[in-house]
Amino acid sequence: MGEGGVGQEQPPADGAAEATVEARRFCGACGTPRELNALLCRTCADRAAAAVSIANPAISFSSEGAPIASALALYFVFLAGSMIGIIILLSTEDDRLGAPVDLWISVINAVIVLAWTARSWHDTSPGLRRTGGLIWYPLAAVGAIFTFLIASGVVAFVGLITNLPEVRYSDYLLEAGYGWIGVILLVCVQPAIIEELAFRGVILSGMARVMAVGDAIIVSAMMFMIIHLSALSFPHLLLIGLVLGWMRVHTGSLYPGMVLHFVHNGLVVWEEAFGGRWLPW
Amino acid sequence: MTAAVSCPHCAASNPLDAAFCESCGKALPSVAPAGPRVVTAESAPATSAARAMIEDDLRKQMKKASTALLIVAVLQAAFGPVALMVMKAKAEKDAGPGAVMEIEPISYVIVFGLAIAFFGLWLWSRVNPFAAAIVGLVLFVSVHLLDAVADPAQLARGILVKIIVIVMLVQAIKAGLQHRKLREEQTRAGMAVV
Repeated sequence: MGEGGVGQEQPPADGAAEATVEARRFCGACGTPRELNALLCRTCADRAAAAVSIANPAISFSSEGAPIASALALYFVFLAGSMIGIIILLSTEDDRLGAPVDLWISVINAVIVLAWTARSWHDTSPGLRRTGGLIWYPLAAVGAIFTFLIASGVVAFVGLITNLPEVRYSDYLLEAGYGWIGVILLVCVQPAIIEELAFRGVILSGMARVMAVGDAIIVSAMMFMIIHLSALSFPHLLLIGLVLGWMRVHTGSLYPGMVLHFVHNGLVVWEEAFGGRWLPW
Repeated sequence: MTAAVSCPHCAASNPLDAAFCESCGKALPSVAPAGPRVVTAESAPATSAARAMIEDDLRKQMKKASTALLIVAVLQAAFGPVALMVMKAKAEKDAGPGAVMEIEPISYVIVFGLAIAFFGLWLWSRVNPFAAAIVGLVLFVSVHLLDAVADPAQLARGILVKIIVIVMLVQAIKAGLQHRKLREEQTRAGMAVV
């Protein structure tokens, strides 16, 4: 308890002229009349009693805000990597640059994400240490079929109402001589691992430290959606992001999400390879 | 305790840290400037009154997110089509005299879709300002960076508004973190008192 609790009194010091006990009629802190025999009025006494309290360090992005700052920094550095690729491709007429730029940006973004994963190892590693129940892997693969169908539907619908050219992921890589292995590595494996590490690993875990888990899933899914920079893909990207976030939380592991992501992208590549004959549209 | 401050009204002696004279109740000349109340995390919110005061301030700061998001939504809805017209005029100028360029309907979808997205974020911010501010910041900066890649001059247009919006969203995020920390301490303090 601090000084000035109700009922306590300060004895007058010897030899010094000061307001005597009887003459102390007002609270020294706020000037209101105080109770007899009290040094402070009740309100101020309460406040003074709380003088000894937990030291509060200032809120800065170096302490409590660290997960948010780290997540946002990763997002914007990742975005910068993609934008540099876009700028390079926009500034040249050479179509053949598409594949090497894609390769380099994929490598650079992978390094960035791995660096951030290492930096936030405390938050990210639990998702890598756990594998979740075995049932989740076939479930993830089947789930990917559904997400693929929804994504294809949205893309087909957009194609119907606009005359935008269809985006194909494998053609320019094959033309550059990367082969189907290269396509699978760049289109299926790298995004599955790196985007899961980034959005469900670093970002989701970091956000979950400062907000409710449900909110963290939504926020990380929205960031996942926006980073693809394709407004027309927003609907299915958001849906997939929410599913992946939920899987990470529910299974405790990043791996089922990686499987879903890999199979989804794999189905896109499969469809490009074998044509859309097996789809109803 | 030695008295240190002499009251200018009644000449009674008062302790150094007294703000009011204990004899006559009048204000003593203060050392600390009476400026606007600045709430920081250093001030220990130990009493419920002080805590409520700080929470109030933080909530006001978090509300800035709603204001910023609404501003963005309205500006996007109002000036998005204008930006399209400007791009159309520029493209026609580049193409040569007499050229007429079409604005793809999909461009309108994207422009108004973004306005709707920010309206949605505004609505969300009234319930959850913290999360909405984060997503709003991410979307706002991403869209404008992408715009800048397509047309660097665009970045400078309305740069003051853009900076203000970003600052408001960042302040709202910081306030949200402080608010959460306050809540945590309240819970911990509540648990400590048996």
